Amino acid sequence: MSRQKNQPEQKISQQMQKLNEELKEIPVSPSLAENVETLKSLFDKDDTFLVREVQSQKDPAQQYVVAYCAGMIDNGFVSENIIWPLTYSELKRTEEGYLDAVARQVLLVHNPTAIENFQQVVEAVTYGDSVLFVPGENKALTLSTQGFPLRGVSEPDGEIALSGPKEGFGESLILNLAFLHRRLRTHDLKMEMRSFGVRSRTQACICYLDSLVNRPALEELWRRLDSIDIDGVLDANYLNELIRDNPLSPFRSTGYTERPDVVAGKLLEGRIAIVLDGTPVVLTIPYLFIENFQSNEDYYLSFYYTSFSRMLRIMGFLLSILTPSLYLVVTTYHYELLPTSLLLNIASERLNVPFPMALELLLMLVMFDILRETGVRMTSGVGQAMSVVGALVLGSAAVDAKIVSSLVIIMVALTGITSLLVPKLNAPTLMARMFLFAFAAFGGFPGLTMGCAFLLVHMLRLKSFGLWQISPTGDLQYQQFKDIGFRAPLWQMRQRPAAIASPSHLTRLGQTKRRWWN
Amino acid sequence: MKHRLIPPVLCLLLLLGGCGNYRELNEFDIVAGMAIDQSREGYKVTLELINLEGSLQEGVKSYPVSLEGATVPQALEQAKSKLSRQFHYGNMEVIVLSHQVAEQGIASLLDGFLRDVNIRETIQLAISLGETAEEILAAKGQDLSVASYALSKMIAHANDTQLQPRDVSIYNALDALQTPGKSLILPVVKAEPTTQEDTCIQLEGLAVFRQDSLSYTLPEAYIPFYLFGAGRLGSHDLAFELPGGEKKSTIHITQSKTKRSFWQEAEHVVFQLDIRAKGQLDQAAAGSDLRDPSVKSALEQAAAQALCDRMLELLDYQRQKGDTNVADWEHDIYMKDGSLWEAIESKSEEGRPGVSMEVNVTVEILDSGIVRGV
Repeated sequence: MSRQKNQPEQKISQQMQKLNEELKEIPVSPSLAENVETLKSLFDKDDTFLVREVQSQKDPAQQYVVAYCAGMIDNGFVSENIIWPLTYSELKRTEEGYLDAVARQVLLVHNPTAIENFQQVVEAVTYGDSVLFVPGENKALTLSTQGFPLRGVSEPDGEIALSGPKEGFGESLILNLAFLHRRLRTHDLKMEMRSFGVRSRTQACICYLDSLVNRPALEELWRRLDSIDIDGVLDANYLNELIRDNPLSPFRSTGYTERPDVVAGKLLEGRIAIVLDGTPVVLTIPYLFIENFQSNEDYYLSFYYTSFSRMLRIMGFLLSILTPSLYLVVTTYHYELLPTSLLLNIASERLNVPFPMALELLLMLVMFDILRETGVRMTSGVGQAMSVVGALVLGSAAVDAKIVSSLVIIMVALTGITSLLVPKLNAPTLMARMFLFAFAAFGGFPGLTMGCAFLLVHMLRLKSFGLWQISPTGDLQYQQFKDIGFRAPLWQMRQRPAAIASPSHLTRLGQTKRRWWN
Repeated sequence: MKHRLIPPVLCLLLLLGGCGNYRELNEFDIVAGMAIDQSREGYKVTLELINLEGSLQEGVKSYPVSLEGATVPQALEQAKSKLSRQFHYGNMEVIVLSHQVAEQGIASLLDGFLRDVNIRETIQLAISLGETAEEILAAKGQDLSVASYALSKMIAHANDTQLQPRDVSIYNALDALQTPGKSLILPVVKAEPTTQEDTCIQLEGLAVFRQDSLSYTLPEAYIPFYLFGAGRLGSHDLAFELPGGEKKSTIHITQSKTKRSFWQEAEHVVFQLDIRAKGQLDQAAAGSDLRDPSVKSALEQAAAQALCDRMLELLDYQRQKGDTNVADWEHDIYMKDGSLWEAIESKSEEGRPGVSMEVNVTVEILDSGIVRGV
């Protein structure tokens, strides 16, 4: 262990640098045979890599090599727009170079780009592009031929809404960006590309509205993104964990969504979105704590209904983390708090239960999580069956067998159901519940109070890219809490959140006099 | 450094939290009520304990446990050696004192209860008029599965429906004993046999204390008029007769205001009660012409006279029992006339100034629409 510590840690990027530099040092050769040889040596033992040699029918002296990966290209496109023109088109030599002439006169591909070394060749081929080698040229052309299969546009399972847009992001970065472009048709929308992962070279796009964005948060984001040194990024959570604040906290410091309308809404408030290739999950920053309780549907339905729903979600979160602890403390430390009839009922139920109350509750909480996890992992049909077995058979059997009391089943069910109200807080709810449960089991109400105090202090210390996630201080102005505990009518949402948006562009709704109001 | 603080903080938490208080619900017996009688040793304390066996099927039942000791805490201490399980007093709802115990003085008992952290200070108190207080908790008739809880409900019900001052907690009782000029009153309970085996319990008037000892009991019939004097009556059906006849009527009094005043005349203190009552006529005398305003007036006067007579009867009864502190008038003097209070307080019962009572009553019948025949 100590020996490992003493060794200077080598960066992942440094490990890859050598490999990449080797590739960079291999230039594209004017000889087709040499290029083919190089490609075959590089993609040795990769049977999906293909090299197609093409000879022009008009001029047999003209020969080309097209390299690509099977399954990643659009076969029809390559055949019709690259192979066929190369085979049957007549090339007129002009003053421009051979490569440019082929690009201009023969190929039916938009934006062919010249590349000079094999590092660029490898990057292009592995992303579904084709590379055209032309004899006598020390450059090659990358041709955009991506055609790998993509999932269709569908509503995200985790963010189903009764009302509003049903579109969800997919796995293609470009298509995902198109969703955003369609919603925000302004040149103010900036989309800066960056790739992460020295081996995966995963493309990511940092999107923001230039005039609204929170500049300090943007600068901090770039600083953190620049520090990422990893071999592969396969999902947005890779970035989330690498750039987040409070790394050990169960509470998130970045938002996530699979819905373009949500991202557009957040961008309009001055937030920043990170769209990653290969995943439908988009990260948004900065992230305030109240966003855990907000839903896109809040803005698509009546504000009366959605305000009530939001209050239910907040109450659900509190119930979910506190119910087992409160039940434990009043039934093991502070029985005086119970009405006599309820005390007698609970005492009667527990008469033949062999386990201590704390263990009984803990068993059932773990059992509920097992059932929930099973239900999520199973296919829908089996999942439903599992729910029935869990809820009806196991629950009632456990009560009949005097392993647990029926009130514990009710408490655990209440805990479980309320935790489903706020899916964004699944992990924090689980951790906070167990944390408070431990304090309650050892210390009764004083312990629970202390646990709550620790939890509250932790929550008050949460930051997201320089912003406090919960800020109970400051000016108490209606415009600043109009979208917190309740959702104000849209005509009252005159300003963007002051903590997030650029101070010079706070107003988002004009002072229109609505004369049609009675 | 921060992480190093966590273990000591957690240890401190365990000490503060009192992990030792952790007790499972099935590890102790729930005490429903307590009865205190006199015994040779001092006190005999009977606890009514809840029996949870089979309670899910047959309902909750109880059984008594009796303990003796020189003091109540000592008697309760016996339980630790005699019984294997601990007691939970947190849900005890009533303490019944025998009249012998009450006559000896209850201030020290109440003080002891208030000092005991396990006993709520809101527990109701009652005085048993029977031979023992224990027999109240042993009553099993009228589906009294737990006599203490049944008694507690009876007291609360009487308190809610008639606004009668029967719901007296330990805290309020001790407060009344220690407030100058106030007399403690507690509900009286009695066990009545219903069959050869079963007995039921019922409320039977009020116990009036002088200092901290039971002085006398006020019969049930006088309670509404006692409340008139105290200005605390909720409602009462007052029966009365029209003058010169046997025609009986009833008025349901729903509102009552009592103005209490006193003044000193030579060696005499005059205490005056001005009672203004309002109510609906429940039952008019047969043959009364209710459309005639003079009939209404006559009814009101007759009701006022009846109420006045009952008040004077109550005052006579209290005087006969040696209670000169009628309707807590001494407390009024304590609050309003310090010098007179000092004169009263410093003298013995015999040396106190004489008291004469004046009662003025007006009654108003509210449902005049019916009287007019509309």
